[in-house]
Amino acid sequence: MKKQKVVLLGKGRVGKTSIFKRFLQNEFHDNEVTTIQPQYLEKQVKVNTEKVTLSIWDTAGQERFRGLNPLFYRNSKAAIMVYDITDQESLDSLEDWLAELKNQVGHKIVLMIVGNKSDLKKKRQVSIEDAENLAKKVGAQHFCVSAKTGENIDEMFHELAKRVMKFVKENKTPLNTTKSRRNFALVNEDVETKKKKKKNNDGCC
Amino acid sequence: MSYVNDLSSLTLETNPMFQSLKSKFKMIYDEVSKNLYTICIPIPAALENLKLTRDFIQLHSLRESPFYKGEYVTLLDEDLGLIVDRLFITLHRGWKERQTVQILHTEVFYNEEYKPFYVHVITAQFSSVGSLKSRLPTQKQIMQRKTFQKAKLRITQMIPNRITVESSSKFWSDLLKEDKKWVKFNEKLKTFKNCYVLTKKFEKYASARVQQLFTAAVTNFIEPDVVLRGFLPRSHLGRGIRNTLRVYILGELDYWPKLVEFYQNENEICENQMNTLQSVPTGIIGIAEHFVLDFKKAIKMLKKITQVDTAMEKILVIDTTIMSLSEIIEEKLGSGFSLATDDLIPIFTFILIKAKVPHLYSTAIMIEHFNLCNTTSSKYGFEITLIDSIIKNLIFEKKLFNLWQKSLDEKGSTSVELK
Repeated sequence: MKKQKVVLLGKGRVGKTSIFKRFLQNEFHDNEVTTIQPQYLEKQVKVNTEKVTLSIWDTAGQERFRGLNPLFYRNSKAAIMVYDITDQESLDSLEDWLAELKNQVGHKIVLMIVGNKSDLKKKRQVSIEDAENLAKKVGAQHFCVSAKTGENIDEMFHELAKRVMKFVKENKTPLNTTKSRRNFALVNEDVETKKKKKKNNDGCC
Repeated sequence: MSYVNDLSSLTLETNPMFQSLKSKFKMIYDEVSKNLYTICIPIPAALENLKLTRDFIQLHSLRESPFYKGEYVTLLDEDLGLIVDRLFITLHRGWKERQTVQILHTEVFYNEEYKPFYVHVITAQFSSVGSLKSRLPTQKQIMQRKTFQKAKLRITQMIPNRITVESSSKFWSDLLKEDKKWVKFNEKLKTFKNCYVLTKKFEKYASARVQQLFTAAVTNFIEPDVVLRGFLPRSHLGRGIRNTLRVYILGELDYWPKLVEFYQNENEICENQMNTLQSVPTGIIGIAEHFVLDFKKAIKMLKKITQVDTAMEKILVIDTTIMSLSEIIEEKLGSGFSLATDDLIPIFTFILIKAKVPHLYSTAIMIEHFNLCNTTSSKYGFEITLIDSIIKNLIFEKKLFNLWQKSLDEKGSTSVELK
C-alpha cells in the first residue's frame, strides 16, 4: 500500500511533537522507519499481514501560524487531533480545528481524537466522557495516551493504520468503472496497434 | 535440488532459445556450426521472462579460448572466460560473479561438412547482468552511454509531476498565450484526433496496456530528438518517450523566464516585503528565545536556490537548508532540542527573509508545479508546503509586516537582536 498522509493537529503545547517522537522511539515488530525529521516521519506499520506506510506531518499549533495549516492538510487521509487532558480549552478548540480540516479535505478522512498526558491523572480537567462524546459526534475514535510513558501510543497508531487501510480500500476507485475509464487517456486502437498487440501476445520479442 | 520436472525440459526442439537460434538468429547458429563452437541452452524454466536478444545468444555461445588452454570464451566478449567440464560450466574470468552452472544434457549436432559440435542444456542462464557490466565498453559505447545519460538526466530533471497538458491548459495558455511554440503545440494537440491525453493525475488508474497505448500516442505526437532516437536502447525508448512528452514541451517553451515575467508583480511584492523585513526582530517573527542562534550557514545554503535550475534541485536546496538548521540547533543546544513545526516556521521565515532570494514567488510556483517527486506524502512534500505557506501567508499577505508595524507603534516589543 502506498504512503498515506496523516496530519497531527491541535493547540500548541498539547504534546503533538512528543507523541510524534514517542512513536518514533517505540519499536514494535515489523515497523520500519524510513524518513525521520523532527516535523516529518515516515513509518511502516504492519496490520495483520499487510503493511501501510504512514507519513506523519506535524503541523503548527500556535495561534499565529494557524493560517498556514490548511496547506498542510491537503491530500491527507487521516488526522490525529491531540488535546491535553489537563487543559479543557485544548479539547474545546478541537472543533475549530476540525472545521478547518474538513473545509480543506472534505468529510472523507479518518479521525482520531487523542488525549495526551494521561500520566497526569491527578491534574485531569477533561472528562473522558466529554472527549468520547466529541469523538462520537465527529465520527472519530478516542484514545488516551501518554507520550511521556509511551502508554497507548503504539495501540493508537496501530488502530490508526488499520482504519487508514480500511478507508483507502473502501475509497479506492475501481479500475474498470466507466467513471474512471472516462478520466484517462485511451488511444483509439487502429489496425497497426492491434497488430502490435497480437504480436506481443504471441510472445515474440 | 531438481531443476527438471520432466524430460521435455531437455528437449531442444521445444526450447524457445534453441528455436530462436535456428530462426531469428540463424546467422549465429550458422557461425557456431561452421566453426564447431559450443552452445549452452538454459532449460525453458530458466528462460521465463527473459528477452532473447542477440547479446544473450552470443553470451551463451562459446568457443575455445585462443590464449588459455582448456578455457572457453563467449562470442559476445572474449574477455569472459569459462571452464567447461563434463558436468559443470564455471564462469571464472571477467565475470562479475563466479557462477557454476550444471550441464543436464549434451547433444551432438553435425554441420554441413558432417563435423560435430555440441549443444549443452544447462540449468540456468549465465549471469548476464554481471557479465555485461564487466565488459569493457568500446569508445562508441561510452559516447552513447554519455549521451543517453545526459538525455536521461535532462528528462528526469524536467518532468513536471503535476502540470499536465490537459489539466493545466488554462495555466499554460495564460502563461504562454503569445508564445509561438505554444500555439504550434496547441494546434498539434487539436489535430491529434485519435488520442486523448492521459493526465498524470489519473495515470495511476491506467492499466499497463493503456499506458502503452499512451506511449504509442506520444510517439506519434512528439518528435524525439536525434539523441533519443539514435542512441537510446530499444527497451528504454518507450519509457524515454513517455517521460519526454511534457519535458519536451516545457523544454522547448523554456518556462522559467516566462514564470518570472508572468509573476513579476508578485515577485516585486515579495522582494519589497523582504527588504522591509530585513531588520525585523526575531521575537516578532515568533522565534523562541532559545532558538535565536547564528543561522548564517543555513542562509548561505538557501541562497544556493538561485544557482540551480530545476525544481527538483531547488527542493533539494530547501531540504539541505532544513537539515543544516537541525545541525546548527543540535550543535549549539544539544541533541535534546529538535525543531517542531511551530519552531521551524518562524526560523525558516527568518532565513527566507535574510536570504533575499530573487523571484521568490516564481521559484515557489516552479517548485510547486514542476517537481519530479511525488509530493503528496513525502518529505519533500512537507518542505514544499512549508515554503509555500510561508511565502503566501506571511510575506505575501503581509501578516508579519502588519504585526511588526503594530509592535513598533506600541513601542512595547521586547525583541532580541538579529545575528
